[in-house]
Amino acid sequence: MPKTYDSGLLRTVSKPGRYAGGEMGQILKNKNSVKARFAFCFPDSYEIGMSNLGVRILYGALNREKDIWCERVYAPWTDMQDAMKERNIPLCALESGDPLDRFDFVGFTLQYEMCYTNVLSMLDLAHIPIRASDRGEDCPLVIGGGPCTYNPEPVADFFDLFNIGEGEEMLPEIVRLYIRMKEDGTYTRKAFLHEAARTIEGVYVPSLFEVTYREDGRIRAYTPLVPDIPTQVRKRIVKDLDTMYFPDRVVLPYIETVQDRIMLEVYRGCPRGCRFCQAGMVYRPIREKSPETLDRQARCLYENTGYEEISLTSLSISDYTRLPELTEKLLSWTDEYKVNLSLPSLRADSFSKELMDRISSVRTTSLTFAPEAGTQRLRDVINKNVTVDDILKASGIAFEAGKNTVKLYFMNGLPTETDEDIAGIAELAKTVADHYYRTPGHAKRPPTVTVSVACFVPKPFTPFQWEPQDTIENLSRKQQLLLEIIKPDKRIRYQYHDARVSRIEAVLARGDRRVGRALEEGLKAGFRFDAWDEFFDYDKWLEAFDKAGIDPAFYANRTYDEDEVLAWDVIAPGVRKEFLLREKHLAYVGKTTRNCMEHCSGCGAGDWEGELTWCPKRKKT
Amino acid sequence: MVSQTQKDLGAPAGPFLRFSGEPLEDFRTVRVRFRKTGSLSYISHLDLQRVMMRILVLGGIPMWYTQGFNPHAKVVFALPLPVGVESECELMDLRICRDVPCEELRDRLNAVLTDEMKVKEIYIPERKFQEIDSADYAFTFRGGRISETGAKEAETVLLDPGRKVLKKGKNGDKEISLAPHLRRLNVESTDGELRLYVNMPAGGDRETLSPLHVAQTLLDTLDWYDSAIEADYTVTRLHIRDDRMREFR
Repeated sequence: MPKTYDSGLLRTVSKPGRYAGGEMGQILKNKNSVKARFAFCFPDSYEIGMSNLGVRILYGALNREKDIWCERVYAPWTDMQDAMKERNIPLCALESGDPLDRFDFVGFTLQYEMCYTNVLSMLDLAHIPIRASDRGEDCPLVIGGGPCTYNPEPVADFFDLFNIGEGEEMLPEIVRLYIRMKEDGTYTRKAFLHEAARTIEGVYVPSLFEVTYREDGRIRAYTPLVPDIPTQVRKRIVKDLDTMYFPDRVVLPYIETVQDRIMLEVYRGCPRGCRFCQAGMVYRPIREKSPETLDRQARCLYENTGYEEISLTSLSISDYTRLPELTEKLLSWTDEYKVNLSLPSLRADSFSKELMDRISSVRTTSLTFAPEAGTQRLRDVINKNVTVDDILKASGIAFEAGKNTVKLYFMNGLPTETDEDIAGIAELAKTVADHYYRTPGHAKRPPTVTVSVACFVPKPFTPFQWEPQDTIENLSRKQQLLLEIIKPDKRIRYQYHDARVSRIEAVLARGDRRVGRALEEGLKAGFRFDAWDEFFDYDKWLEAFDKAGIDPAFYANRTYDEDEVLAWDVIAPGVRKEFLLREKHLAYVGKTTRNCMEHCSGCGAGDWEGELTWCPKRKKT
Repeated sequence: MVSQTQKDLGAPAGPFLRFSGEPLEDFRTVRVRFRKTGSLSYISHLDLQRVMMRILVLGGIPMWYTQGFNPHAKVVFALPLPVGVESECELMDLRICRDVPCEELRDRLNAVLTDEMKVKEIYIPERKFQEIDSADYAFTFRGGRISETGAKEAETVLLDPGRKVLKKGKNGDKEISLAPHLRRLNVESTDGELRLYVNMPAGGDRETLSPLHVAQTLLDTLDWYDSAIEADYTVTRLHIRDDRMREFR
């Protein structure tokens, strides 16, 4: 088995199991007989990266191709980075132990904006030039995918190519094109990037677009530099999830990871249309897997992994139309083999006694619901479509089943929010705690209601994409206000996010190409693991913006004009701008929009593949 | 494609496979001797325990579960191995609930395991883990500035009666004399490689030292490498022994 790093290095760092490779289920190939080598990089720690379902799928999808070898790379922890730099040891892939600059492709999945600094520090550790324009012909092609690429502009200068949308089919196509052009002698870096942008749907090559700006700093236009590529990049989706490639095995980590279990993806998309939620918009249209497929895949994964837990993953699991059928099939064998089922994304309004009974036959974690806002008025503004009654009913079912803890997720700083809405959060939590004692058959222990409050970040391709983020001062004031209201009630635990992190997240989420300069300044200043509180330094970020000539307020706290050119207009994600605008206007009059299962609101995602449609109530347009 | 899961090896493993063996009235304890080498030597004892539970499921081993309110499988390891040390002789005891021959258990586990963790033997235990007395270790140091006289230097350093090592513990750190913990010390150096064999007390309630104390003492006192990161060496536990220096079984 190949070795990664030398024993001396591994003995001097914490948790060396992160870097030693050799796990069961890893895929080894002969590097001399494959035609393309792909280093799949996850810009966060091993424990987080190994848990990612997307990586598990794409690792398998690429390695299914005999002549392509895909390997894994995670961001080394800070002690490892320091030791590698001290001895000038380059970042290597876990399977072969080869340094990244020997690969044909270095691919990053961009899951969260705060990981951008890790992308740069990993390229730096791999001795690969940061800017795409500085890379020579022999340098790996650096490509990116994942949810953040719906606005890839802040990192556009660091990537040769982006995959927009789902990668199961697109990623192997890109590598195949590379192999073909290498074989027939037509490959140059430039020719390949052009050909990929021209012929593969979902491919965005930022260097093929010129961006011009107005005097006031806003974008004037995106102009393709070559005539034969699409002026707007259509996101790619997989049409049929039942026949889609699915990995029947996973690499089994030796050290404990965050999601050390089977993750069974039940469906893609979300029927709800919450107006702040990017995932709910860009993953449309809804596509379900059948219970038969899911049961087969679950058995197969259990057989190949021995995991004692299956987590049903999707944006809102209780909205899966065939959930009873699925749980029945799974429970017919999981109980016997002592395998637990967990449902991590429950909605209060579709959580039933029946569902609780099904999952309570095995161990369940505490229940979490996300009302997001404290008053019905604000919940209507954000189109959450959950009522106090729904939440009480759902918590009541949990209390009756012997649980005494419920976790409630909220957001601060939503558009139109007032102090009354903040007080509403405390009010709702108290109502839930009171409801505990009114529920017949509740447990003897006192109830605990955990209130967890995040800060609203306006995200591209949501109805709130034009909205300003609340200032840090105002967000902090609201956090303190809520703390004071909640404090006297010992039944309620209160947690809130650092508003300063959310502000940087907003800049990176809505940023344009110029924001990349601040990331470069960040690399110089040693930024890494900014998604981790212990390494995030707000003042240093402000310094980096300052050096790069970037005003964070321009991106985070400004109201974008409805007719202004947005940095992400170069991407077509399915939902149309007219729909997003309509939803924004409905938000301001407090009107809700029904979910896709009840009514089609004509968002545009259903038109994605001509005659094919997944939307249950789709309107012909 | 070389993949290391059981399907490619074509072996009859997997949690869904049923055993032919008859159910036992109670349970049977079997002892597994396995390797922990290569990348596996960098995982902690706690991680090994967790991974092992999964491997037992993967191999379809008919585990016996405790009969209490929270049924769980019983797996007991003999001597935790320090991170960074390899072993050819790890021991763990399992309780099984069916009458399955040890050889079949071994083959099923090996069908799912990588070479780094191969099971060497499964047998019915002869003695209790409490009766373990010592363990043999082999060290190999490579590269650096190890000279012809390296073996002599190493021996002098290790057997110096005044040499103490720092043992970190829950109740504070302690200084312990190294030499009394080294038995049958044998050092040889050839072609820039230095090999060291030693038997050290292990198990029981006594004060014991880790083989890494030996390596650290050499690195600290002899100028072989520029830094700890450069120190290229392996330590392998070769045998576990009883109080009469026989292979512990």
